Amino acid sequence: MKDLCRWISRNEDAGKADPPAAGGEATVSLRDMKAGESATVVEIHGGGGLVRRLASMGILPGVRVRVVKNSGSIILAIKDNRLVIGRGMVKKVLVKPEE
Amino acid sequence: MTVVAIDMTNGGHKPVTIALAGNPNSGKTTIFNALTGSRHHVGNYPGVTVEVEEGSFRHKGHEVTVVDLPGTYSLTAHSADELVARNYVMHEDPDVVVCVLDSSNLERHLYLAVQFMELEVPVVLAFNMSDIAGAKGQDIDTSLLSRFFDARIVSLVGHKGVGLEVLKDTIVEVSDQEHPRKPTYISYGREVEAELSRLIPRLEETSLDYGIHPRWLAIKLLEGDESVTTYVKDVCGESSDVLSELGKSVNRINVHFGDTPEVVIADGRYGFISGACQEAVNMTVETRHSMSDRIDELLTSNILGIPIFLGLMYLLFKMTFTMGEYPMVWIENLFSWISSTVVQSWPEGVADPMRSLIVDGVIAGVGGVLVFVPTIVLLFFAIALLEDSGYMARAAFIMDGLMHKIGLHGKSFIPMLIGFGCTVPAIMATRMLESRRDRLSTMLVLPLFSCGARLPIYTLFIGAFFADKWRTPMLMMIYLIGIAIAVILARLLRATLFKGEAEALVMDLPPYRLPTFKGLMEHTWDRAWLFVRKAGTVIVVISMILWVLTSYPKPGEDKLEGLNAEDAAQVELSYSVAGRIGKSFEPVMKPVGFDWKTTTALIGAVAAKEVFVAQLGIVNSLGEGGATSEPLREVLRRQYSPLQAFCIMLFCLISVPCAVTVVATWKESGAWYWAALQAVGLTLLAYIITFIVYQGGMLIGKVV
Repeated sequence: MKDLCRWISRNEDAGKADPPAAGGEATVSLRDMKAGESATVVEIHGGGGLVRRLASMGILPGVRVRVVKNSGSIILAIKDNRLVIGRGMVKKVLVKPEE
Repeated sequence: MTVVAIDMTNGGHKPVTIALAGNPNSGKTTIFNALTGSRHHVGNYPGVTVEVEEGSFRHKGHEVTVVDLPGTYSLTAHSADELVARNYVMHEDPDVVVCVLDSSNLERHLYLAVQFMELEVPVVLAFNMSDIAGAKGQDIDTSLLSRFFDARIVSLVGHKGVGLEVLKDTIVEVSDQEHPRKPTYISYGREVEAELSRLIPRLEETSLDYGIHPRWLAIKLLEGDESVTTYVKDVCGESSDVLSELGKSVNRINVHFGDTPEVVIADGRYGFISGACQEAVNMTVETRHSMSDRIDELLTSNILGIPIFLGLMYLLFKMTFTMGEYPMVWIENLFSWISSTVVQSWPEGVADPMRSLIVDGVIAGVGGVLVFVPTIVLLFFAIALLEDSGYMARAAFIMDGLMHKIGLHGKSFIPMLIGFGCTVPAIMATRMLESRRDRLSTMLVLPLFSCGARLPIYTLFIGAFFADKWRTPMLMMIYLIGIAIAVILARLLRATLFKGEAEALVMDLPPYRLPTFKGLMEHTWDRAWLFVRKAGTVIVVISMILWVLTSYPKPGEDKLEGLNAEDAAQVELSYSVAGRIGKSFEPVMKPVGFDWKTTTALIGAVAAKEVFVAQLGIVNSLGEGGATSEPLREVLRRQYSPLQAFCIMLFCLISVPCAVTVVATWKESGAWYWAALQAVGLTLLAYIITFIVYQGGMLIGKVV
């Protein structure tokens, strides 16, 4: 039980997660991501309400995401989930693209 | 909370109340229906604006009441639904919370379950859709998970009824056990725990009583939960020790993690869940979405997405209204048969007003409600098909760009589309919108999407006043004016009454599924029955009032002598309250180009828009003419100018929707004043616009 409760990185398939970039090093908003690209969420710009809401859908810093489709609104893959992120929100999610 | 007396027929078993919770697409409704059968009613809880459905079943001598909480992703106070779910559990104190989860998407769904556990209620985890998880090659060790979460777990296949009996057994067993309230056991890590242990003693010093362990309050305060923060501020004051300690804690967490506490806490929950799942769930490759992704390549493609969407909608609604025609005619015939049977068997000359009340008031009123039912059933079937197959989420994705410009949600598009058929089911379809602001602003502008019942009015006037080649453009123009006003009004509402950040669209894109017939039927039936039950009675009363207004008082026999039936009907209507209102309003309505006949016919049209045509026939001594009736068109041409005709159509488009719509708005918004705002606001708007058009048109006419 004890080892379960430690902080566990959720992006096991991405290897060990980097700690969130402190100074916006190479971060872009989801809006600038193309279909097929993967990235790690770094920060969510918005009030606590928005942060908690996105967290409840599985989007929070440290999580690895893949853009399935980007046409203003975005279809995002998080593990085995697909989420739609509306136009108003894509620019609020900052990510660090994978090489 | 209802006080429950021990019912001796229970044989001493205590009655049990359970709350059913889960993510919106966890299959919660299916399980609710499977548990309770048809024993539903709408529960009333103080402060609850969102409807809470309630049902019950008996199991092993226990009478179990099931409260179906709104589907939510979390228990923050972010939306009305979330607040309802949380407040219900905290204040109504159910014996057990059954949390329904999609087994094939466990980690995300457990996030909600964990938050219920944090509320210190006994939780039973219902792992629904376990067949899909199994097919995916997912092997879940439920007994291990059950130990991690300290909660009983039941595997289910909701739509097949597999596991239901076990669920019932578990509910009863868990409710029989003593559950000492205990604080949550999720450890949020050393730093957060240190802050919590600083905050908790501070909270214990105060007079706060949230009926729950201070640990929960402390977590919520760190998370910045608005409703808890406001509560603490109210009780302890802005400058209390608790709040200054909280400020320091938030700062320390920010510095230490480089992230806000809400992120760190969400992380802690996911960390716990994901750790547990790693141990207990054996996952094979990702397969669930490969097929879905390929279908989406086509259905959400930039070029074909919208045409396919519009094509599908057109097909679906065309089918709905074409198929709806037949049963509608049957119902109309049935009711006219009932009316004529009553008329024929009624003894000659005995209590004639009574006969008229029954035939023209009650039977016509009930018929007026039931005639809507086939279309509503079919429309809800169509919506259920879209939702259950997973296409609805794609539609919202496709339309999000366009709707975002109006300040509405991608999903608002569906009710608007339905509105072109009939506004009533459209208003009921606004339930699919999560935020109340979106729901209300969509609801209020829906009548502007010109419904099918208004078409006969346009057909009548356009046919009478405009040359062949102008007819189609004219009709298009009326519809487009409606859409334009709706868009402007929606923006206006979003900027004033329903101010605030546009509800961000974040939603699950479930994999495509073949809907089950049973599931479709359940969804359809639930909604259709709700319409009949909720709107039915009120509408019958309204149509009786309108019947009185258009038939009383009666002119003396001498006034009708020597007149034929059509003329007599005209005299009777103009003598009635409606006729008098029409005449007395003539000075008010003259500036928009209406004479008393038009106004009188409009009063009758409140019952249903298409009645306007029949009423126009009567006031013009032609009997109940149809929209294509040439004599009526002839009369209209003699009396009105094309400008007036246009103004009448405009007024019918914008002004107060039919009584059924107003009642539906009232019932769906939960408050009469929204319905009143819709009715009065739209009528005023109609008056202003028609006034400008008529006076402007007259002016241009004079100049030219």
